[in-house]
Amino acid sequence: MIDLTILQQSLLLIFDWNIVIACLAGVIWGMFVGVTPGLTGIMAVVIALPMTFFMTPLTAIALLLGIYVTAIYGGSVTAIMIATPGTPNAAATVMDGYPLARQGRARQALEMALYASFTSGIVSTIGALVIFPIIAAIALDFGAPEVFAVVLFSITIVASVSGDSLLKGLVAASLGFIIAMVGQDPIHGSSRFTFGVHDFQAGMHILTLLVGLFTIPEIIMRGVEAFKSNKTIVIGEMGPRLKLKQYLKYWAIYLRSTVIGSMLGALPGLGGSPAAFLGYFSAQKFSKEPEKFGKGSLEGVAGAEAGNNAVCGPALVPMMSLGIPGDTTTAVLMGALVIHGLTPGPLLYESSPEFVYSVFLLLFVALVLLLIVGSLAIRLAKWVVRVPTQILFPVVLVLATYGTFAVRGTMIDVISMLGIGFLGFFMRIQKIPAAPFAIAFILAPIFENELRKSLIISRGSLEIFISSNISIAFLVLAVLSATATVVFRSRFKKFRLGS
Amino acid sequence: MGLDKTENTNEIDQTLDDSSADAGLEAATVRGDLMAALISLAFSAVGLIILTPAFVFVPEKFIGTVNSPAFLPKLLFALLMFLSVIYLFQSIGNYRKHGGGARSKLYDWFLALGVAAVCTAYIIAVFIIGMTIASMLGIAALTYYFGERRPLVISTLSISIPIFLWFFFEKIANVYLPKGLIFSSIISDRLMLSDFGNSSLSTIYL
Repeated sequence: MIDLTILQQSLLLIFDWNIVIACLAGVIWGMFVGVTPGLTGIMAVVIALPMTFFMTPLTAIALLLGIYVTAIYGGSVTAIMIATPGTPNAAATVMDGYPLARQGRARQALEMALYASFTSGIVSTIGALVIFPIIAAIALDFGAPEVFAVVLFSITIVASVSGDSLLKGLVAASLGFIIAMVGQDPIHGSSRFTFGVHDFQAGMHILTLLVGLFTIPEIIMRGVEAFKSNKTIVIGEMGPRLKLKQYLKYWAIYLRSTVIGSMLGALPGLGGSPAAFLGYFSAQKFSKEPEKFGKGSLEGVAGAEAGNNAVCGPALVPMMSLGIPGDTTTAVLMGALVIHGLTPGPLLYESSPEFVYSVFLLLFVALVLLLIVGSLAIRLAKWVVRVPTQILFPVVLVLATYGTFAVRGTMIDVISMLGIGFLGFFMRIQKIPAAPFAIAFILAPIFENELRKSLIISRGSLEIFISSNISIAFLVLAVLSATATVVFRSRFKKFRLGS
Repeated sequence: MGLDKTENTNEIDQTLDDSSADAGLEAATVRGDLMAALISLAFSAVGLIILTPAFVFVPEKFIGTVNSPAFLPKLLFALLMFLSVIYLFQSIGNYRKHGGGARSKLYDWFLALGVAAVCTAYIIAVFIIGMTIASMLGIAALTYYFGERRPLVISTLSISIPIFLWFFFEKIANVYLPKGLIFSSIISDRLMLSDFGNSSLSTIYL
């Protein structure tokens, strides 16, 4: 539990103007990077890292945490406004955020994303701070079979985002899985479907797929629409503000997504995207209006955004307590600590507990600053909705191209983006849902990695998956979730084609 | 011919929704399902029979084992094939019951192909004249295609945005943008173009 004396000392440490200004600079930089497609949170942190060499450890971590927290939200701004996820974490947000913007409710979607991110960020950080040692201990119990069971459970959400036809959703998910197989096999490093092209060795980047899948079809559709129309078409006005009542109405969604995000955040290797999709899935599962999901639902935006932002605080727990980074960004944060002479791990808490507490308190500061900077970003977003389609979407294409190229500096990503875009366009025409495709692509590498690691450990025996209570629990949940969805859908004949 | 002034927002939203609905593109057809099922079935068969054996390198001691790099791809292609067969049967059933359904408007398809062609031409141009100049031409071509006719708007956009992006990516983010075959050979003799299949595409123009 929290040691109040140390907490008090930590509070005194972080209330230094240098630290607050560094955090603000990080938040602004994180927001800028988040809204720029192609520049991910990890890139933003890496670019800022050399600047921290001349700072004190706490000032440095304040700058980096500001970036880390804000880049996740920043990615949702472009997802909502122009159907282009700024970061992979915003992939689930685009499904309902963009339709809301098209309905003239962009402000509500943006505000919901901001407030849900803030709420879940605060709650998950409090949780991480309070149950810091417990989470660390539980996370330590998660080996390959347990993580595989969690991922298997996550895959069952494909059924709920399949729209009118489960069959089409499953076809899309299979395609997503297959595309994820391109590149090096994660265990042996063998080439798979690279066709002799070196740049395919690293596989397709997640942002390449997301931009292609969501942005290119939108550019084509809006292009056709603009060509046929003789008048200026704009996305619409920003629309009404989110009312306090609307925000409070979804408290259960924030709570559920926060729990999901916190759990996934504390597990190494999962990251924000699965948390966003699971948050979205749980919001839909418990919604009174599940049919609105995918067509413009505030609940969908709330679930996804609360899920991905809840990852931040708990992701620091295994890093700070055990020296195990939860994702790539926390690995870089860990590197920053090492550069400053602090070695994350059990000894860090023993030797400088006030520093560990200060890091969590800085997350609160970063979240408050996110709220302020995010509100300003929403005000600026009103200019986007007033830009006519004729002008907006050519610029979006160029932004998407630059962004996709910038991720790894290779044109093969740009070509792949276009190819996936055309595939996404035909899928959209045939009402084959894009979400299962994206989810399968995101989860496939973790799924395969953990499955094969487990089988190597057990020498090919499947018994390893029922050797611990945690994996049994998640496997049972996966079976229940899949069965419930199929039974529910078959009752309403939704397994059949929608047409 | 300039653009008319934007009308009432609600009316525009309505127009958008309506145009999406009757665009003819977004209306899934039974005939389309039939085609999609056949493509999916063909792709899964090619993947299972040709692509996986030919393009997945399996170390000898893992051949036929669950830990083979080809195990999951094979399983996925088989799953896709199974799903495609169901998809095909359901589509045939629907076709018999309802007929092919309304055809998408040919005009809309031409327009969509036009946008796709401009996008493709833009990406090809990046290889030849570099990202910045290709983006200038790409923005100009697409804004014109989408209906914008004011030369000042087109030229301002097509010049300012690529220059801003060049400055941001090259000077701030240290991301070196493709210069294209023409300019990289003019600027320096570091042109490292080898054959497409065996080279890293990123080295062509940097």
